[in-house]
Parts: sequence; C-alpha cells; structure tokens
Amino acid sequence: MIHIELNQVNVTYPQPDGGQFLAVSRFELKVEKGEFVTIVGPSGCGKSTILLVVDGLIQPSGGQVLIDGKPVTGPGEDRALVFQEFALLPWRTVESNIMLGIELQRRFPRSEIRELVSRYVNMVGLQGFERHYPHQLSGGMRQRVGIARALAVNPQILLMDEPFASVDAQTREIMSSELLRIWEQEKKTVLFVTHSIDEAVYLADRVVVLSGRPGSVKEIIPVRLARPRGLAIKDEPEFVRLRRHIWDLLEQEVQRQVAGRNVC
Amino acid sequence: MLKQWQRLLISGTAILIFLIIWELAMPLGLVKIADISRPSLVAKAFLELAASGEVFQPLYISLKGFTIGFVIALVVGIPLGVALGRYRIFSLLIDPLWMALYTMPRLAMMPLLVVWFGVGFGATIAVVFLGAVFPIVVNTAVGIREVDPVWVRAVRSFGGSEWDIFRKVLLPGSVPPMMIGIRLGVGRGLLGMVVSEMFASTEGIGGQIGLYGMSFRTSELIALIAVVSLLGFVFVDIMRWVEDKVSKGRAEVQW
Repeated sequence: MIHIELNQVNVTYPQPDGGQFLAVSRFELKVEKGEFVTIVGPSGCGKSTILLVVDGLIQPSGGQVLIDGKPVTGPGEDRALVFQEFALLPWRTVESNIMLGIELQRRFPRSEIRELVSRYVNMVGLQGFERHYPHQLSGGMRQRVGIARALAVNPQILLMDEPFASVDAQTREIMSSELLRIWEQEKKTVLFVTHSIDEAVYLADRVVVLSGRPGSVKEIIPVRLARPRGLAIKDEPEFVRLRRHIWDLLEQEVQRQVAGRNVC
Repeated sequence: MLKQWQRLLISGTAILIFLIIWELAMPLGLVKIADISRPSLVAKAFLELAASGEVFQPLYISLKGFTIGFVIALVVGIPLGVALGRYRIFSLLIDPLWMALYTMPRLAMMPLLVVWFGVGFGATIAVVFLGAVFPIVVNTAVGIREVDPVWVRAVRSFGGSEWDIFRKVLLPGSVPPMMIGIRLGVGRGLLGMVVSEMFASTEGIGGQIGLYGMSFRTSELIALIAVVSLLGFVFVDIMRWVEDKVSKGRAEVQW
C-alpha cells in the first residue's frame, strides 16, 4: 500500500536578488507503508528540502505530495521530524523535551503521559538521564532524545534529516543499528536523508540517489539484504557491490562540488 | 574556589578599611576638604532622620512610584520587545522613531513631563517608566531574535500554533537577554525616580536628597544616598534570585 507519494514536486526558494532558486526539480517517489527509504546525495542538494515538504513545513511550488492519497497542506499528527541539529529546547530536561510533541498535540490523556515518556526513554536507552539538560549530554544522547521525542507522538511516518551527521563515527554505527531495532519493533514508514552511502545502504529497503542541483531522482536502488541486519553485513559482497554502485552514481556530482563548480 | 564566608570576609574587610580611612581622614589631616563628613556622623544623621520619619515614609512614597512605573514598563516593554524581535514589519515601522527616542536625553524632558503629568507622583511614574522601558524592549527584542529558528521549526513540525511558538519557545528562549534588560531597567528606573523627585517634587527619598543637598547638610545627604544605593543593591539581588529561579539548571548553558 502506498503511504507517501511525491508527484513531480518542484521546490523554489526566493533569493535576495528577487529571483527564484530551484532546489528540487520534478521529484518522483512512492513509498510503501512500513518501508525504510533512504535518500542519499551530495550535501545541500535539496535532500532536507524534500523532508520539509513531506512534513508540510514548506509548500512545493509545483507538483503534489500525497499521504495515504490525501494532499499535504501542513504538518500533521501522522508525521514527525528528527533534526540534524537535534533541535532540543535547552531549558527543558530530557523528559520534558520528549514531552514536547505530546504537549503540543493535546490528544494524549494526562494519565498516560508519564508512562508514555518512560516507555520512550527506555526505548532509546536514556534511563537515568530523565532529569538531565541537553547540554549535559553527548551528541549521540541528544539525538536519542530527538528520536524519542518524535516517536512519542506515535507517528505513522518518521522523517529523519541526517540525524547522525553531528555524531561521532562510532556512535553513529551504534545508533543506526539501534534505529533498525526500533523500526522493526515500531513498524513506521521511514524517510531518512543522509550523505553517508554506507548508512543509506545499511538501513534501507530502497536507496534514492539524488542528482545535484536542482535535486531530482537519479536512480532508485532496491536493497535486498536480509533483515534483521547486524553491522557485519557491511562486509558482505552484496553490500559492497551496492556501495560501489551508488558511489559511481554520485562520484560525478561530488567531483563537480569539490571542483567548486555548481556547488549546491 | 573560595567559600561563601571567605568571600564575605574579604569584601567585608575592604568595606571596613574604607570606613576606617574615611573616619580618620579629617582628624589625621589626610584631606583638606572641609565637608566629607564621617561614617559616625552619617550613622547618627541616619538614625535621627529615621526617628523623625524622614527616611521610611519618603521611601514608601518613592517605592510606590517606582513600582507603578516599573510594572507599566514591564507590561508595555515585553510585548513591544517581542513584536519588534519577531515581526520585521514592526521593527521597520518603529525603529527610526525608536532610535530617536533612545538616544534622546530623556531626563532633559523633565519640565515637559511635569507639565504633562503634574508635579510629584505622576512625573515620577513617567520618568521611571521612560528609564526602564528602553533596556527592557531592546533586550527582549535581542532575545527573541537570538532564538534558534530550529526550535521554532520543531514546534511547527508537531503542529504547534503561533501561540505555542510564543509560549514554548520565544518566551523561555529569550529569558536570559530579557532578564539582563529588566535588571538594567531597575537601575535606570531607580535613577529616574531619584532625579524626578529631586527636580519635580519634594516628596520621596529624592525630594529629601534635594532638600539636604541644597542646604549642604552633608551627613544627612550621604545617609540618604546610602539608602538609595542599598535599595539598588537589594533590587539587583532580587533580580539575580528571580533569574536563577526562571533559568534553573541552565545558568551555565550556552546556546
């Protein structure tokens, strides 16, 4: 069953000189319910923009975004966003940050909130840190809070915008395998943006490879690796082959960026 | 790290040494100026003034004027600061006028204020308000502008309304600069209170200061000025306490 559908989506941003900058062009994607789709591409080529459009935070200038067949007009309770910069409120404790979405959506009975929060604290492994403030946590732990905050409102769709980009490499590995564990448990549809090819292949049912400016779909690659996946899967020939293939697709784009031409 | 009592001891010693030098300066011939009074005389003057009702009654009147003026400054200043910080149209609209008012020597408007608000109480309220409102508005606006847009985005993403954004992000997020503005406002307001009472009224602690100042009764004058600075000290301390309360657990946070 198709859960998210993007039809010929264009997104433009107004520029200081009065012109329009085309960030995403004729973007086409259909995501099945419960599917884990990663979007990989060179930095700043409209990857995040696609998530913001699906979340309803920005409106496409052309085309259509459909969730369960209905056009997206704004943020909704069926979707939650996890931010690269975590976006935690520094004056709130871990517990209270996780509660933000619950508070804002006002659809959870008071009596259940406490239980709900502790459930997600446990799920992301933050027991004992409930009363800590974000500045007392490491980057990895902060993003655990960000993930728990998104999961706590029980969304159907989890939108993740380079969630592990500000986390050190080792923690990143651990966090992505934990994310898979949570996903297998919670059965959400996930749209996950990253610039790490490794991460994209490891997590995904399908990898969407973007072309550079303006962002559009270059190729969609199914990943037929067995689940549940351990980190050891990254050494399997199929994984290596997929990584090689995606890198070949991206190399040209990245070369252009490195050369400073057409930088996104 | 020094302990609290050690810090108090060091500061206390400094004050004590200062008072001793001041007390002995005249008898020892350290100064030639006749009228610097002495701590013992100032203390005596204070007790006499207090006994004759020339400290606490005027202080009460002053504080009433200050409180009313300051509360109006908060009620007007915080929403105005929020609007200025949040909506570009507002800042474009108000900025030029605002800067003109900001740089204007407002105490020079005393005579006009007296005409508008009458001698005494009204003028004091107006001057306190004018002194306090500017730092409150400016720093609140700074606080709002410094709020990380990604926090706003997070609230939006969860379906939060403009009111939610204000309540859950803008207001708590701008507390540190806002509190600085309020603390500055207390200082400016107190200054305005004293000056207004000195020139536009004979009431209040400022009125007393004017009275004794003009007749060069140094001991009484210094005693009254000391009361005002003590008041400022207490206010700043209260503000610190409030700041700690509203920003509990994040005093050391940088965001």
